[in-house]
Amino acid sequence: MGKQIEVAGWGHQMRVAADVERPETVRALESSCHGQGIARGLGRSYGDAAIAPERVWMMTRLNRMLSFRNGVLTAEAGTSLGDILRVFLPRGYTLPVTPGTQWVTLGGAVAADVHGKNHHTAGTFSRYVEEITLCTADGEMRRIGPGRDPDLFWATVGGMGLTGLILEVSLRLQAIETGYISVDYFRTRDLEETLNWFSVHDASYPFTVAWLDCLASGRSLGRAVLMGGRPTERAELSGRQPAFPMPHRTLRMPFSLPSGMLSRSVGVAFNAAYYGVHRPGAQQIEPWWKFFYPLDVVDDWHRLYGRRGFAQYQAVFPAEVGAQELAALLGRIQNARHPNFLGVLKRMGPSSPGMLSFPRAGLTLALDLPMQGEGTSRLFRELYAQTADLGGRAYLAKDSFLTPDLLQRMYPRLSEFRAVKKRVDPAGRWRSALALRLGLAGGS
Amino acid sequence: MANGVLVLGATSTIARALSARWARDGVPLHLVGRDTPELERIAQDLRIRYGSDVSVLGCDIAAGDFPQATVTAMGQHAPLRGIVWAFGTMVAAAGAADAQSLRAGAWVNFGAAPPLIEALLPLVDRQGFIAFLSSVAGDRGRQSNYVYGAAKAALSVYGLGLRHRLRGAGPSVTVLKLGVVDTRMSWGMGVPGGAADPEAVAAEVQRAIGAGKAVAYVPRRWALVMAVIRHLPEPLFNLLRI
Repeated sequence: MGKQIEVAGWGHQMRVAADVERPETVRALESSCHGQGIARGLGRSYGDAAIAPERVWMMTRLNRMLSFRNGVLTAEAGTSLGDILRVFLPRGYTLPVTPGTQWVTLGGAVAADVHGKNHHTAGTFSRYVEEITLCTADGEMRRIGPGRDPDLFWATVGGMGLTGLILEVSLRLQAIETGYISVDYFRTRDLEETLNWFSVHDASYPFTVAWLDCLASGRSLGRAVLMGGRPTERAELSGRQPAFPMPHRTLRMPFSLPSGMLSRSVGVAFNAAYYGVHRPGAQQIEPWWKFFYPLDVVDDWHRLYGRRGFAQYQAVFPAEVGAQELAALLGRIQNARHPNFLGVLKRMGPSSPGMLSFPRAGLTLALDLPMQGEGTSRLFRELYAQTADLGGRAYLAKDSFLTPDLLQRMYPRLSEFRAVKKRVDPAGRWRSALALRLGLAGGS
Repeated sequence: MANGVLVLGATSTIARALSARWARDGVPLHLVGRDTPELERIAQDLRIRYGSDVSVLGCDIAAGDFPQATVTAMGQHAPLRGIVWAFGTMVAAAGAADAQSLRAGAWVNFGAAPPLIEALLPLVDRQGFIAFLSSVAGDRGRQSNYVYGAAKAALSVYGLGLRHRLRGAGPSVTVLKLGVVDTRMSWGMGVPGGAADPEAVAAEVQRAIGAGKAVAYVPRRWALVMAVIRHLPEPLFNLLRI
């Protein structure tokens, strides 16, 4: 039996009432699998990728681990990455690639072909996916992989759930010695220096990322706190330290703050404090959750942004886009006097074979922007237009504002994706609000 | 696999959460239910997560025959640490259900329990336990689900009678009166105050069993809610749309 409830993206600025199914058995999934709609995991996509005006299949209770052989875990798509870490870290295995939150499902990680701080060395999530069980529109359970119906596989990877319901994923885990990351902190004074840092340090650290001080302007525009990390070896730990530590508890954001609490001045203070606290110096050994998932410390942290929610701008630019173009883009947000609290910059490695996979070689920039009505939409439209002009693309898992023509400009392999979609879902069964907005729903 | 826990109706949401708790504690498990492929998925999950010893046995009590095969198969695992009765199915309100589903509902929720439990009783360790996952719906007949409630009331009385008989001489019997839990059975029902988290419920159920309680309301606030509903005078009760 479905349930009529309102579902929202993580930014909570887009909501829709849907008939929500939450199957707990494969049989229940099969019998509920009719009508049009989209699968949903833990709802961490920011915009409208996991909401649909018709049906939503909440996959979180299909989270059984089914086999683990030779380092390859096969689990149901509703299994969260955090769950996998809790089971496998103590056995010396970790995720080869992880996004900035552990609370995404395997199915969601495949559908968005997620990337992490190690993209420049490790590529995207899909590189480690050996097989997917996909329930397609005809009701078939298809096993697909890079060597088995590769077209459907590379359309499903990064395909935002539009090729079918992902039921199982086989993922190659990575052996490690400890659950720690040895981190060096750096600070830069301006954008030029920040970009140079990546050129110098990407070769020596498997994990790199820059936290931008988004509100520094003028000559300090683009200054950042940068982190270079590598897996800690067992010999670096003291004898008493457990090799695979686990976090104790998380804080919970019990209610939404009034919208607008996170004002521009709070943002300035926060960014200045963050920049001030992280002084470069001695290497730190950090447990995995602190390094990879700093925001997971507070559950439901989106509530910090109040009822109106927030949106994230994330784009990747081709390698030839440099400090000057990026400065112009950041300058545009500052000119709009739009508050902006989190800015992350990273240099990415080569693109994945996923037809709609986001990453490509070049710089990626992510900014969280609280929703302030029409002003925010206008800013997004400007940023996206500029992004497309620079040859960049927006990340569908974060997006709320793209249009079909921008999508066409940003994703050159869109027609290949459409051809696969037409083959496996001619009637356009799998459709999210995002797909309807961007003309990706298919059918007639 | 001596001293395992036998879970009857192991694909239910709460049974799965309970099984995970025992598996984490290193207790072997015997999962019994109708949907064998599904039981196998749950068993694999428990094996991988907790390295636990889990066996699976298909048994369709809804078919109506006495499941002799289950009893025989469990014989080799005696003595059992305990049995959990988690079989159950939602029944539509009487006006909306046909005769067959009324009979099936009464059977799966209660009728099948006495013959099966009596046959399995000799296999349970004297220091062990028998737990019945019953429901607050059995506390007072309400128009919305009194067929289900009647079967659960019978299950509760059966459990308490068994406890009375076995006192001091056999396994301890606990009747769990569950409020609305966030399971597939309750999915889609609007519940004032919200449905309880199955994992929190499983923790409380395990505690109540360990403490040897006769009856436990889970979550505990339902004890108060049901005390009010039981004692409500009929004219007032009739005003309620429940």
